[in-house]
Amino acid sequence: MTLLISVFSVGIIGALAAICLLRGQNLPVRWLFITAAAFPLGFSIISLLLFFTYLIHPVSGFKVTSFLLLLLAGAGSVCFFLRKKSSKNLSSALPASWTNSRLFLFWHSFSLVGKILLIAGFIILIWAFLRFLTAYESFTLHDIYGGWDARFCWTLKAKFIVRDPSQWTHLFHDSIGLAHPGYPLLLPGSIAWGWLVHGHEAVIWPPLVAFLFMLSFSSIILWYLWSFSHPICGLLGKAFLLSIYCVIYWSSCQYADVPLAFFITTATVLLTVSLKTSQPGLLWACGWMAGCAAWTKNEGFLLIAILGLITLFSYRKNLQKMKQVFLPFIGGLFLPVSAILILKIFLTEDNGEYLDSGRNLFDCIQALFGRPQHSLTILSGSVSFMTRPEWSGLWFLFGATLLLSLVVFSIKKEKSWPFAAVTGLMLLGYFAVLHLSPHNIVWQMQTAFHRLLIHAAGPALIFTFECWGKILPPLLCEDKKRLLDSWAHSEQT
Amino acid sequence: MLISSTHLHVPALLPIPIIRKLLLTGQNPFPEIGSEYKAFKPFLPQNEKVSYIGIRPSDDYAAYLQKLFKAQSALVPMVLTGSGERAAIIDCPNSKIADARMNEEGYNLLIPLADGKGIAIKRP
Repeated sequence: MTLLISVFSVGIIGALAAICLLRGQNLPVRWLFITAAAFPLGFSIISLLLFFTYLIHPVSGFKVTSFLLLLLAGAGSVCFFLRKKSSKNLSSALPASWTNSRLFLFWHSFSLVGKILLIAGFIILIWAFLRFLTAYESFTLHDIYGGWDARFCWTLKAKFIVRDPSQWTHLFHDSIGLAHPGYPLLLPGSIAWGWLVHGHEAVIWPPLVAFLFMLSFSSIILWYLWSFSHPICGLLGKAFLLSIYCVIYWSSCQYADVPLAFFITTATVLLTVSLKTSQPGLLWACGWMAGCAAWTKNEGFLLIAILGLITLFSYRKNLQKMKQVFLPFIGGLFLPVSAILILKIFLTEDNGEYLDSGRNLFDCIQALFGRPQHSLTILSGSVSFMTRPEWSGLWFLFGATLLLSLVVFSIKKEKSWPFAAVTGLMLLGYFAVLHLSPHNIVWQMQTAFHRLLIHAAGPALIFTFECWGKILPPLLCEDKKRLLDSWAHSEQT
Repeated sequence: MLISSTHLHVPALLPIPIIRKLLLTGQNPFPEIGSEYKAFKPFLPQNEKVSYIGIRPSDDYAAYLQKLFKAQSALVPMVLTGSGERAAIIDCPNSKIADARMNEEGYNLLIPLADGKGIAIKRP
């Protein structure tokens, strides 16, 4: 029963928060986005509330957090009933193959090819999901406590939060340096919440959190591709992600990489949709997701910088508009980034082997450009990892699509380029950071590179499938499509 | 070679009763991380850092870390440090190694708990 309370409290808070964040914005298949984002949003809100309440009064932190969540749920419900309908017409941003959320009411409107494709897409997705579920369950039950970082970093921190709140700041102690005391607390906070609600350290909760993040990660890809590319692309994109061995394995290890991948993908998706549909209000949600990426792992700061650059680039010709757009983005970032800054400045002295390495700018430049042989090793290692069968050819497909897109698919015109930009810049950033690693580079890459690739896998997969979606036939009969378009237009106006 | 050969291995499914036990009854059929270190807890000082003295880290760093973190996980919210605290947990494979390590780090055994294991106190 308490398991259900923990799950539902997170889901409901997250769904209400998603409704509030999207207030006044027009999104196709809105319910699917809200369902996909609900759990990660809920976890981010709960972990931040726990952090701030523990800062003020740790002993009553859980009770105050529960009370604040009830208040937030009330406010969210009011927001839900006072829905502000957007007057934004999306038809120009949606592809010709688009079918609206009332798909099955219009089943008879699909062409025969459309019906066959949809049924096949659903069958493939169900098969991939069942295969994923079996593999996830096997991996999890053979190692219920997860990998090293799950056992001795993320759940260890959660134990400090749960066992004796009055001594929770011990988790920032230098002595447990290998548990990364300066790392942010989204995952430990999420695990701690379930344990606090249960009243004990329920062994099933951390794998369940990892599973919910993985489901959300794949669902956000389904939502974007379904809505803005082609329904078949959405179904196949989600099925493809669920069948990538690396993603299955690392999600079952209960590391923070899949949650981070969710926030990176969702922030990029929201920025792209905001550019496609000219809705700067979506950047509140985009900023929140990017901030939560940094609240999950330090790598999230790279995402914030990249999204900031993309926004600057997109509005470079209109300074007035740029100001209007940046404000909501910064607003969304504010709370999670404030929490990280408080944690890093006031609570911990250990900010990790990169930030605390004592290197100046000159040393970094020297490390980046002064060792060509080292760079070559990293490059060849990266190519070896990306072409391994564990990735089911994702990086090969992405590379080939990127090359083709410059000639055939005209990504700039379609405004899907942020996905390629985020993937490319994230990988470039990691390539640079690997030059600064204090460890043996072979060991470092063996330990971390697959997980770094997971961070960029969402945008890479979306970009690839969106480009190839253009060659798929529309699902609707032409005359029915015209009818539906006029119906959708009249409903919006 | 930079990377080892590929292993696309998925372990076999575990029997359903284990899943049922986990989900429905909330019982834990798996041994808890570091449960062997719970025995140390009643003898350790409260609200104080404690040293962990196991095998020499330079002998097998991975094994040393694994044990240190298992102990840390079991003894949260107590913080375990490498050495130098007033009290220490001795966690060695046998008493011979334990004696050698206590001499190196400057500790005397106070409460023996098992062969090579116990609570030690820093020499004045």
